[in-house]
Amino acid sequence: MSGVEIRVGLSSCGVASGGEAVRDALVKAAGGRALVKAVGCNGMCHCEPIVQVLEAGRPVALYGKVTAESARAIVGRHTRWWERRRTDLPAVDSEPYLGKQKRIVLENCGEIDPGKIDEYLARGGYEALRKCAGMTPEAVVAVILESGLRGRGGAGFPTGRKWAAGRAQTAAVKYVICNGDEGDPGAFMDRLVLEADPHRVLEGLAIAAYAIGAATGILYIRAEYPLAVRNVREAIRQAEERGLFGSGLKLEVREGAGAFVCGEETALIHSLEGGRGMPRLRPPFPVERGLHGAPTLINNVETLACVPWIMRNGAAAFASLGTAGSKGTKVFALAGKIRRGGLIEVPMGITIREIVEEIGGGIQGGRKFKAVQMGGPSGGCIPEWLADTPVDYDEIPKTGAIMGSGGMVVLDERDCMVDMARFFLRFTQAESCGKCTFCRIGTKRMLEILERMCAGKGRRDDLATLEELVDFVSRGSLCGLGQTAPNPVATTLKYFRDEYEAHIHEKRCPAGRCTALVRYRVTDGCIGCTLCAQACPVGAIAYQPYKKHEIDDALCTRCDECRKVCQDDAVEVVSPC
Amino acid sequence: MKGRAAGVVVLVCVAALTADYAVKIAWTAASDVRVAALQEKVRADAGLAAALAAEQKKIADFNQARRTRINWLSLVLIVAAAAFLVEQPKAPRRIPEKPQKAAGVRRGGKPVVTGAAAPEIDLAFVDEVVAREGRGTEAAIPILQAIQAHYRYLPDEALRRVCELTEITPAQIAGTSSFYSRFRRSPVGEHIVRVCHGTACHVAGARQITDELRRELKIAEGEDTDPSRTFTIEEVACLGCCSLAPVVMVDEHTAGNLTPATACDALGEHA
Amino acid sequence: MSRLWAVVALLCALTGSVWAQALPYERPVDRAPQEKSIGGGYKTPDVQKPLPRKGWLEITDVVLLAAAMGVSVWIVVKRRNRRWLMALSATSVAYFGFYREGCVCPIGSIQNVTVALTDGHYHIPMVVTATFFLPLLVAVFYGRAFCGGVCALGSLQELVLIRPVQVPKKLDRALGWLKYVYLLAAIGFAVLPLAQRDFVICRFDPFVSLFRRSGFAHMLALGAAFLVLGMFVGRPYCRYLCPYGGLLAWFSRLSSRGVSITPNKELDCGLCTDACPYGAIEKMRAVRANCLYCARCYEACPREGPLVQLRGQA
Repeated sequence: MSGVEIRVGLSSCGVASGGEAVRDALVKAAGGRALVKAVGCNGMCHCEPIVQVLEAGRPVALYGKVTAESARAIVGRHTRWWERRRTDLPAVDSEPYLGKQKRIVLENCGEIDPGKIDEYLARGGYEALRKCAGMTPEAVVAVILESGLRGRGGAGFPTGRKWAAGRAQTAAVKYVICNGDEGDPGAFMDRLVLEADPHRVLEGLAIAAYAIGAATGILYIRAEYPLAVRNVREAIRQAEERGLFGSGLKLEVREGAGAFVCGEETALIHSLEGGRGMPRLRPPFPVERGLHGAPTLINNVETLACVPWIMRNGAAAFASLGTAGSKGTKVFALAGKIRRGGLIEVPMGITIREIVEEIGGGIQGGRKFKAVQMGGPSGGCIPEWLADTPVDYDEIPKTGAIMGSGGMVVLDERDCMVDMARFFLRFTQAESCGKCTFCRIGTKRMLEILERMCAGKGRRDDLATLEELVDFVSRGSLCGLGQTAPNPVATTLKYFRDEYEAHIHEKRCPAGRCTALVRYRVTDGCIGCTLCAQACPVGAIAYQPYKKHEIDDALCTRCDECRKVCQDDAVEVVSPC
Repeated sequence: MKGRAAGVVVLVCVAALTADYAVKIAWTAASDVRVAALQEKVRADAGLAAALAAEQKKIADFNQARRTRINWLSLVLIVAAAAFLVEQPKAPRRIPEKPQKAAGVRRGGKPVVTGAAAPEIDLAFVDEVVAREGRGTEAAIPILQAIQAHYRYLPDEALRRVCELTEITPAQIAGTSSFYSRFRRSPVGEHIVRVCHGTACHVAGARQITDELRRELKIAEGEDTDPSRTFTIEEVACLGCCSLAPVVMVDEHTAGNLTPATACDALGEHA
Repeated sequence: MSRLWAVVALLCALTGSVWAQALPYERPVDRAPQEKSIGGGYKTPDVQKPLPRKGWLEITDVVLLAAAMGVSVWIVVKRRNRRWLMALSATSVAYFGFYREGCVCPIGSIQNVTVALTDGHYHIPMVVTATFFLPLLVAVFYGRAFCGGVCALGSLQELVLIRPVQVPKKLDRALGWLKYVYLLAAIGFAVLPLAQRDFVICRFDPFVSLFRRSGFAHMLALGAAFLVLGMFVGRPYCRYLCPYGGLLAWFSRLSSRGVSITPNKELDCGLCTDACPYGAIEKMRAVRANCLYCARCYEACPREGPLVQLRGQA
């Protein structure tokens, strides 16, 4: 073995981009000359499948969008001296993306094979658990309290206080639950951590169990993440084989069944008890009376993933990162119209603009940055002019959005805010469990109004009704889902009122997104490259190279594909049509 | 017109060169015989050497003349050929075929018999699951998940059997199975196509992907399975591959960065 | 416009070939072994090889070769203009082909170099060495610039390609191996001892008899056949037989520059792929090893297309 190690990212994003074919090609090409290792995703999802090559004495070489062919070339370059000069490889400079990041939770993502416990152990894994075993549970809770760690699931409740409450319970049976029911559309950090570094979460959960004195730990994971479930099950098996949890702790995995509201603690407990996942009134908080009436500590995946690092490096190291109120780092899932999407981990206090423009590389196609949607259906849209807001549990809510679990969907000038609001309302409407009238019917009425606006049938009094409903629904609901459901509407109404008015009064969609209000046309900028004709799914554009293309309006479904593929911006959206 | 004339000249030149070559072969053969005869004679009678020299000179002259001739002929040929090529109407820009979609979707095909059409349901599996997961009410969801994984939906017979075997009531089963979006009470196609409708996928055009798939698979309005019962389309909240938006998951295989034009490729070899 | 270039090319070809005839030919009288001394029916051929060129002229040829490659690179990489490249091709055909009668060429020099390396008694002039190595050197940096508008054989085929058809990918790839077989065969014949040694590349060069306007009829016919085939299939000799092409393909894999499809703004519409007669554009990018520097892809780009030109005039 020449000491060359090739790592290929095989999380579900890597697999979806054809990572397995790349892995096979690498293994075949490498033969015995290099070690090929399947690791998790390193967060650079925009250039999956990713291949990293490590050689002694050389900087890590990173390649993105690798194909089976380029995989062979990569192996060649690093194992044969005469191919060293090759330049036809898809090398990626990771510095702009990774440079500003600080990795705690994602420390091992893309570095270790999640299926091999030894690799985790080699990087200091389970050291924190051993260290805790030598401390009293109270001391562990104190460290977490001191670190200032706050729940990464969305609300940002101080984790230490939750643990202290759990510790204070005197019941004989206690539970710890890892909440991996990551339902927020647009967030995928939990998936990635569970897939790429499952042991870190198990270690965090084991520490939590030790701290509050629980004997059972449950990992509740979305069924939409089959790889995460597989990896975690395997990780538990390996850790138990080594006896790392001692005899006092039993971990099990439960798959979700597809309900967003189960991300809410009390709903999650109902779901675990086998019933409908409906939230109940708090207090009593689950940490007092939870699963089967026993005190139950529920922490998010990311929160638990922070714990081992804190225990290993000390509360002060963690507290030195971030801002006064929000310590440490936060993982964000960058997606949407961003150039470099993926998973990033940044210290708290960094501004949204830094994230979007420096780490994310700005908007695709050089278009204008319009807003960023944070917090999923419970969050809101932060407009470009507020992008200097620091990422912080206290600052973000001032804009009307929430930190949420860390989904950041970047929107550009082609995204309609009314449509965004409608999208989220449709989501919360469908996911509402139906317990509270305001959430069940109020969201329905709001959705109807938004649907009407998007169809060009908005009425003059619609905005007033909407504002009224925003208020009623948020006050009249029991759980976070209902209370925050109107947020997307409230923030877009606050910052992009002109767009709502254009929809209602002019029957016009300024972003050109609402299909009922737009028509597509080819401008004289067309160079006849046929890209649009190739992309049109309904054949509304005739294939005529070197001639100006025409769109058949009767066939056109306004799918926007032609405009997306056009390199010369020669397809325009006319609104009102 | 000029092109055609040049073409004719080319043909004439080629013909002339060929003819010349034929003549040369014949002539050389004949002269070889003569020279050989003369050489024979010269060996007998040295006085004939002058005649041999004359004959050889004749051959040399013939070759020299031929060389000049074909030089000029080939010059004309080159010029004419060049003129012919230049006069060719410029090749029209090749109008390439519209690229074919990588995977055509099978339509029709043999109907796949699933669930409802198969009245015989082997309930032994239910017993097995209950034995494994326990009889308490909290086992409801794992039991339902296992049943769905096995039968690919929740057959009524199986659910009834669960109620018989466990503490779970029909009301709880009905409530739970209707609450969670992953549980299905009706049979599905051979493959489940989950189209992600998360935020990132929404802004990247998940709606268009769904529309395109429905169109290609000929799924009727209000239906979710195609006529051949090969594919069932589901819209799901988020598959967690947001940076690859829009994303489609066929059974357990995820495909990302789709466009309406490539959406059907995601169906892969099943299509 | 294209006609003007063609006329220029024709004139060059004309003057070139008239000159070629004026070359002093070495009569067999004083140097070659004579009929009398050999006997046995030996006949001295009426015309033998031309006299060796003067030293400075040979150097000029090498300089011209280098210059032509420089121009080829410049046209393709910087100017991105097919017409200029056609003019260069015509000039090369005229000079290296008809005037210099296709010799010395890098393709044949493979054999000279091989023999020189294996046979201590055989010496080759520096000129031949330079001819052999220069195009390879350029290939290392810029790809097959030699094939573009410099090689007389290639340029001739390039000029006759008027109705290109695409060769099916699999067939193309399979035939592409032929040139390596040919290369090995040529080397094999060249390293034989003097008596059996044979320069097959030169002997079966399909175009050299055209350039010299003499030679065996079957070779002339072969050349003509290649040209006729070449009107539809892009450069059949270069792609499937040329042993030097095989070497160049090898070396050009190292090159970092060369034909680049829309370097600044990806269009990726695929029209260039359809326009490339050599199947050298894969996944919208030029494959260095197969790209023959014809610049057709530039011409086929809709960015240079009629709609854009119309706008430029307006």
